[in-house]
Amino acid sequence: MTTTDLGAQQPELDPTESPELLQKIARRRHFRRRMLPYLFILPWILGVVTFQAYPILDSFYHSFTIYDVFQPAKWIGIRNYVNLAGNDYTRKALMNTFLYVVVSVPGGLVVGLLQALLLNVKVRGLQLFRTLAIVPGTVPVAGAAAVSLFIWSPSLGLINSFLKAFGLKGQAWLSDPVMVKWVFIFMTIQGGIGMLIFLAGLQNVPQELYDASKIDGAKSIQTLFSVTLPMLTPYTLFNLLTSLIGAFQYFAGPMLMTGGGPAGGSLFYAQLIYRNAFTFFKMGHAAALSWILFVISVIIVVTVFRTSASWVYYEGGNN
Amino acid sequence: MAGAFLVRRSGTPGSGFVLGMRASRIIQHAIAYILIAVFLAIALMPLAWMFSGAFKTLEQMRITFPIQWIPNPVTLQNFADGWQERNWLLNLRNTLMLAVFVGVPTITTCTLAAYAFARMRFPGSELLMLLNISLMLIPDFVTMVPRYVMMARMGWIGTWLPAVVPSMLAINPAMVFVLRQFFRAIPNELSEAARLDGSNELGIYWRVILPLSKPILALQIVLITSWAWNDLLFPLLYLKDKSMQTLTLAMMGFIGIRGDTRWGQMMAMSVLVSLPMMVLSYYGQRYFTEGFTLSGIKG
Amino acid sequence: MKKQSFSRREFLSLAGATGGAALLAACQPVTTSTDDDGMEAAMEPVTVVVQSGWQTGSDSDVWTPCIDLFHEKGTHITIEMIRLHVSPEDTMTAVAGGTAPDVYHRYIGGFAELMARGVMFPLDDLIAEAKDFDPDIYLGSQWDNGKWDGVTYGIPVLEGGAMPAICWHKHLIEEAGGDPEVGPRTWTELLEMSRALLKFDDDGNLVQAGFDPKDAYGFTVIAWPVVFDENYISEDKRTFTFDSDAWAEGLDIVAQFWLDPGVDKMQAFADQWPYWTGYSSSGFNNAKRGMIMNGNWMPGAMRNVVDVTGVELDSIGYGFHPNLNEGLKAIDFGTGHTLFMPRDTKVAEDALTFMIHMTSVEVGLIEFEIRAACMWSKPILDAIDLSTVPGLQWFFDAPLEADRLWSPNEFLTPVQSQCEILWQRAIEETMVGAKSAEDALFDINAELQQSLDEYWETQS
Repeated sequence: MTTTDLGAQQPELDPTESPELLQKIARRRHFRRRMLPYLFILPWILGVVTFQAYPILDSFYHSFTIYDVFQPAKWIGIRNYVNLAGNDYTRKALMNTFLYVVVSVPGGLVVGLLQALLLNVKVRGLQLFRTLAIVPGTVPVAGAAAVSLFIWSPSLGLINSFLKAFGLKGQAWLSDPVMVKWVFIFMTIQGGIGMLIFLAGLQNVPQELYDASKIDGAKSIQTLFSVTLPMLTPYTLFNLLTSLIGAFQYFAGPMLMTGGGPAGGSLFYAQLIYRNAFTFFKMGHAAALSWILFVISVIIVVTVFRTSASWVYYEGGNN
Repeated sequence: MAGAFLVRRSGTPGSGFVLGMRASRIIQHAIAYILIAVFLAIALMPLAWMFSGAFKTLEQMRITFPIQWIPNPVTLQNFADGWQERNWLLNLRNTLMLAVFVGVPTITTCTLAAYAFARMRFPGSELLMLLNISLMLIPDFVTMVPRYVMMARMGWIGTWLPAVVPSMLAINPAMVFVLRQFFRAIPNELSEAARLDGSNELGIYWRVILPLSKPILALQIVLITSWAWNDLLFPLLYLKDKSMQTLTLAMMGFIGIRGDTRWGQMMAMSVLVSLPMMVLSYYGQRYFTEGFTLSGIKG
Repeated sequence: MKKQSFSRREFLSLAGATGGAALLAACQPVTTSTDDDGMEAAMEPVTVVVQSGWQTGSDSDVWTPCIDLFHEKGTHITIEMIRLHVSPEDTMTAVAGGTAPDVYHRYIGGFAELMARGVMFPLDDLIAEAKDFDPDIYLGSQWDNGKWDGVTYGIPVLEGGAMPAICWHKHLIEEAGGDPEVGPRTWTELLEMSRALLKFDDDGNLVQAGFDPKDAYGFTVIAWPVVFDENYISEDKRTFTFDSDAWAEGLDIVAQFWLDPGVDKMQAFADQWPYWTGYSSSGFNNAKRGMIMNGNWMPGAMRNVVDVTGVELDSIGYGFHPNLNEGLKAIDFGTGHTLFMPRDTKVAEDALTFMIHMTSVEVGLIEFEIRAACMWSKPILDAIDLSTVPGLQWFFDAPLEADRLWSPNEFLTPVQSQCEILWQRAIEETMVGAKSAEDALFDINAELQQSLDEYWETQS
């Protein structure tokens, strides 16, 4: 913290003393100003160099080896990459993950937005409702998984009981290889943190914009599209990126509830990595899988990030 | 969706509704209440089952039709058994320690970095930000083993250093990214005004940006605390020593192998363990629904 | 009241600590370990850290009385217990980082690859020197449980071997038209009786089941070679042989038990009547399932819940489990428990002292009293009083009557965990009709062979 004071108080010198000194001071001041941002991000840079770079390079190197952590790695070139390309469960996991990303990310955004709009209605008890909406996310993971099994259990589970009450046929949710992936996709389409961020964003839409829109005679639905949604775009971008990243790494639910089964129906890519690394002791293979995932997600996220300039509105200016 | 235009409508006389203003407002509020009730009912159902399970015997916990929501008879045995099994106060202390040791340094260094990325121009900032985003994309378990071995070689296992030191070095790319997004949205006029008043960059960061970011910082505090409350991997690897175990590890003690999990005690302690987080959520939501960026200049 | 003030004070002191020098104090190592393990230090107080997640709950805790007993002996060794299930990522990182506990307790299966990779501490020299310990106490080939490639890494302790039998509710077998004293002797008979025992309610829900391979055997691949009488790995551990006729025939039968009532019906039934027989709500304990075999099933657990279920032990019939090779009286020792040391332990001798304590008759009697189960060691089998567990005579005599006592040693592979998961996959693929049994086995065989070849590449 103290280091950042460098850019703070400049020594008071009489500038009339000599032009050389003046120039020198100006240069030094200029240098300090240029260095200042790097001082701000110095801890971050040190972190990248020390705790991020080594493990990442380590994993990249090992993606070209047979490596079980305990014995020295053995170089095998690109064989891990070739093997994973030929494995039909890798393809299955990749397809499941794509489906998950394509459905649950937009789904989560829409649901989060709707929930936020709903919890923005100034009704009595709002604070309580907002708290209750956050509470499910605070339950310990182990407890939550036990409860999910109860909800989706065939015949007697909560969902099937409801279907039965309406005269519909229950489904074998978790024991059907096609159904099971939809269970996990559906289960995770929820507002969560994204809802909170939209909710916060809604507080920032200046009342004047609504008033102006009203004077123009806009209907509520028009106001939503012409004022509310554009003003929310920075929050949308943020939610989009974080949920994309989360979706590519999703695996806790299936791991606890179905172990990726049946027959790979709920096998998602991150679980495949985890399994190879920690259950099968195939660190090299897991590293190769990770780098494939990394390249795919970088392409997608960077694309989103780059195109964002055209649709995200920053009040602070798009610099 | 209903919410946004319902609110706005309420102050909009003669905007399409045939009914009088008061009547339409009542109807709108009624619709809002119904929608909120439906949404909360869905969201809270699992929680209700957990609460109900906490007071049930193992036999009652069996799924039956129709579903029995109210335990009969109510038993407190799960709480008694669960409580005496572990030193929960020690686990709570360790969890709070983890939250503080990670939270304070992380927020300090990440806000500094995010400020530079959001509000200062310097060569390489775009590239470094892309690097930061790429770091977000690498699954934790890819770097888990090498990082652990690194820490072990330095003799840090069995201490709090693996929690503290990376936090002091802003090892939280996601947080840097969030904060940068929100700092960027703060109008430039505010910092320009401060600059004209003689503030340097650190002064702007401290006196303009941080005060305006209270809500997002509150959200980060809630997120880090709930991470400390719920994360399994970090405690499992670094805090396994009896005197350092956190609440998650204590909870995991109820999970057996071959299915001999003690569900009743687990649900009972899940209820107890989530209570502090519920209280924190209440205070947290009051903060961060004030809005993240413009709360200082509203009105 | 007291609790609240405690936590608040703690919290404040911690918050303060982050600012100043107290932080450094908090970051000092919490564990204090003795640095040297030389001769002088031998009698210094030593702490041995043991990790297990098995039977550690307050209502079924086997460890505490056994450790108390050890401490009463008054050695210089103190045992500290980490009561956590030993998970793979935990083991791998801890061993790789050299920070593992001194003793791990787990089923043999998950440790095969650790033994095969030289991660575990070889015990032969220590055992040769150890007084008052004789591996001859073990019955049959059970001692081989902790061996890899001729080297001893683990010591079998506690509940040794699995239930060597098929068990059935006599009245249900009678209902299904079988002889209540004999039970099913072949897989065909087992399948027929199981079918006859299925009962559905008006809505089509299963309310009574016969036999569920997942209930007991399904959880580990190690158990199945005994049933199919055919191994899945060659003797030199270099070739997988899942793609054999015996396994295809076996898997078809295994899948049939679910296909008969329908996969979803069986799953719903299992959710309502759990497998784990330690539960008073378990399906077999409540006579909702007619038959059970091996593994999850321990008669002692049932004795302990008689108050709730009302099902007495003497209403249960026992027999050697059916075999594809009819008439073979085989017992599998594949799922017993074993204590291991990671290679970096500093207190190997002291840890071994504790491990040997866990094989003692006193410990056997403690476990027998709590769970009506024990290690299959000759002195313990002699010492237990079977009159306290009426109806269990057969259970404890069976290992002596069997004509073959299998050891998991024969089935362990250097890629055992992958083998377990892919076998589950083959079962699921067959059950849901995604693949034929033959194809499923062929595919997992190919994938496992690839991993096995890689393992051998690193060994050369």
